[in-house]
Amino acid sequence: MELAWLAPALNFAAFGVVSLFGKYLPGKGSFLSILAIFGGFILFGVVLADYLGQKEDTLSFSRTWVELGVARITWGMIIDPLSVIMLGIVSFVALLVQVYSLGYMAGQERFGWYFAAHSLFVAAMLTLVLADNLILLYIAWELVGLGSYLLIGFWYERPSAAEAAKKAFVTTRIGDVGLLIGILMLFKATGTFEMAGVFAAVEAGHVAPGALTWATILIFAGAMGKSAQFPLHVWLPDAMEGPTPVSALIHAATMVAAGVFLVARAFPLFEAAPDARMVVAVIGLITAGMGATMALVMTDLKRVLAYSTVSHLGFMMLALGAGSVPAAIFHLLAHAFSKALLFLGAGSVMHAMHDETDIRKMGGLRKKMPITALTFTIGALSLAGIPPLSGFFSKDEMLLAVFDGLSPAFLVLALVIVLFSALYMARLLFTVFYGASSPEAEHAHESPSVMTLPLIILAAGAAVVGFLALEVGGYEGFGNFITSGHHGFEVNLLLTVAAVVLALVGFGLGYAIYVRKALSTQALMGQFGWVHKLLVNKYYMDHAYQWAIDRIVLVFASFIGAFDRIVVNDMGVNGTAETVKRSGFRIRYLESGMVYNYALAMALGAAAVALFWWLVIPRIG
Amino acid sequence: MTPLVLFYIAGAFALGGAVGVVGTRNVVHAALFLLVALMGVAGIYLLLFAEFLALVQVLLYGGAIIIVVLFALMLTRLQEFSSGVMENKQWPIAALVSLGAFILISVAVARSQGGAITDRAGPGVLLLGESLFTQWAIPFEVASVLLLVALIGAIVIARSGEGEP
Amino acid sequence: MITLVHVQVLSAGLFCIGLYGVLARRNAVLVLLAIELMLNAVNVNLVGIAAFVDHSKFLGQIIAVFVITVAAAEVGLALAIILRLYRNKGTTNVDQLNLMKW
Repeated sequence: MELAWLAPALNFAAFGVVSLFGKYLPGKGSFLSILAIFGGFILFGVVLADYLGQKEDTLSFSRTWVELGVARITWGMIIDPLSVIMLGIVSFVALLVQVYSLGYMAGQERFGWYFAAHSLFVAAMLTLVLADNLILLYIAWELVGLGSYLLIGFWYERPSAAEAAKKAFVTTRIGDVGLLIGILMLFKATGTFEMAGVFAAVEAGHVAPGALTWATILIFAGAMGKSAQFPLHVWLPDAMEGPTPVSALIHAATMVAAGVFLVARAFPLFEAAPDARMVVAVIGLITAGMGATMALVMTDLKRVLAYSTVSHLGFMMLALGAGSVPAAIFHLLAHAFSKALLFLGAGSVMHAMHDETDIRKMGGLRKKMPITALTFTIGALSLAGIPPLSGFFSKDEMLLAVFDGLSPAFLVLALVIVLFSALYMARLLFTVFYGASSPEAEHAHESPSVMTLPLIILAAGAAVVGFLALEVGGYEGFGNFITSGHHGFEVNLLLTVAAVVLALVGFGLGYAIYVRKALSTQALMGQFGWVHKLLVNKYYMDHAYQWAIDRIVLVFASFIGAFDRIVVNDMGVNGTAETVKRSGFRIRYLESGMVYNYALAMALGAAAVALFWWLVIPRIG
Repeated sequence: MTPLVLFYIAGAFALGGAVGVVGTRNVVHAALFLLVALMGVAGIYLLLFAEFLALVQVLLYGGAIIIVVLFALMLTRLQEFSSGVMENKQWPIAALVSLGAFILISVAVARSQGGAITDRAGPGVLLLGESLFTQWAIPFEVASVLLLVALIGAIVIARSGEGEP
Repeated sequence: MITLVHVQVLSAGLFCIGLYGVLARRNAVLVLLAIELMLNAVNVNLVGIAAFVDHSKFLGQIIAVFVITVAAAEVGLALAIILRLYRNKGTTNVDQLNLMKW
């Protein structure tokens, strides 16, 4: 169990070796990265077996790193159900994505650097889920952001990619500041950075409610940034500029899950501050709604998936806000499999269509790419909530949590969003794979097995993982596993049926519109023109941000720039040099070469000394 | 005539000559003014019971140094004998400094003594000579050597330039 | 009555006039004459002190003898140098003798 630290360590080592020496290695070092992540996956298995074998709740070990007076910074790991599950998700999905990338990124420039950045990202993510104290978590958090920046901006020759990477980093940074302040507030109140200590202090009531609520909200702010909650969601769609496997890994399964993980990990805080929990729930609901509505109108394949991710993350936050960590984490698991599957499938489609992403130019790909189509269908159905796939189970649990923990208004809106989820998934599925074959799709063909094998594995996972929720035989069920026996998954039959019906209705509606063409999309757009415009412009949020940046940030920045240029550079640095030069010019004349000048100087000096002697010396004695 | 009056007359010669040295436009006149000044100084020496010194002063300065200076003036063949500006560029400051120094010294002297000391006396040639050849014999000899060296040096400096490098 | 103050003020006056001459005259020879003035002023001072204060040894007069000696030597040498300078540079104008610099 103590070997768990090897998982991130192996990947850090892979990053180091591949980035420095990748050029000289066969395959540019990609095999090293894959080996490292495979090692991580093996470790997950070992840790899981270990953990199940010995019936303790949590384990941890730590070592002191730095001691500064009252502050002690340690680094250590905690092994509890949450970290074990995350370890598994991260290493498994990352492994599949890296294998897939061998095919997808073949022949690209800087192939080696891609894998190096990948390893760095995975290493940071693993550290994050294993960390037992807030400082280590924050460090890993920032490193994850860095890895994401490097990977989104991998094709940095493209200005749009560089912009997207910058946008992602800056937007999440805003959240990160909140996170840091929250951590420091907690440290001030409890005196420790270690999570066990902080939670104990909070539960014992040592932290004032006002401060606790604010600190918790600030920590949620960090989660908002990384998990693309409103209003910090704007970076996620733009992040699709990165390679598609990157989108699968980062923006489906791991990095965006970090925010959900953070809230889950810090849940004792949220339990103690119900106001903060309400904030989480509300923001989650808004995000889920915004994401789902925007996914309905986007025409870029990856962007639809991106907004779908936003919506599902909002759903997870909603479940957390309602008070159920198991439901949210279970959906995280199901979503990881399903969304990664969808993204990799999208990559397969793009590969076949020569990097075309406009879904209006696709159609009938089912016949040309059967494996991709089949796996994609499984993923779409899962996320729409159709039984017996995993998405159905997880969504059901989440709705149950909302029903139990929040007012009915939340549930109604959540159900509407379920309808929309099914609808946009159906839209995507049918537009791309069914219907008449478009001209550009003529030359499409199935992808190589390096790419289709991960798809199949993920599809199998997406189909089967749902059954983990059930308590069968000696297995206690996922709910109990996560909460260490405190809370299993229950079933409310009415709610479950209602959710399934809505999902089927949504899916059927999609079928009707996009396959049978029963309703014309043109007519719909005409009727609800203004709605359509609002959605396509992403609720004008990007415009708002740009305005704020232009009017406020840039003005301030130009002022600072002017200050630096004028005061520091011109006056300070250059000014000093100029002064020295000019005074040199003037002083030069003291040495005129004329003897009488020197004689005058001597006379003056003598007079001065005499004066001094006469007047000053008697006074000071 | 009281010594005081005599003092003032001698002083007038000295100072007047001095002013003439620094003020006149004609270099030869300047040398002659110096002679006048130095004669005034000789008179002061007499009043201070320094007869031997007065004698030496007249002989040396009047007889030797002024002559030498006049010769040098002739040899340097000045066109500016009685023309042009005789002051260089820093004369205002120089005037200021000189005036300041004079005030400084006078005030210091007056403040420290206030006219209390009035006895004067002198050794007479006999005592002076004795002291010079017994107690101050070595400096005396050194002074002779100095004169010799100066003589040789002056010849060397003024001469070489005709043939040798 | 002549007091020491009289003598010393006279000496100061001579000295300062000589100082002005040294600092403000253009011709090197005239500078030399001014230097002679200064030396004589010093002599006056010394002799005055010997007369008024030092009634046992009259050191002032002895020193004055030596000063006169050295002054004479110095005049000779200085004039030699001036002659040499005149030959090399063609002028005795101190404004144009500005070699004592970098």
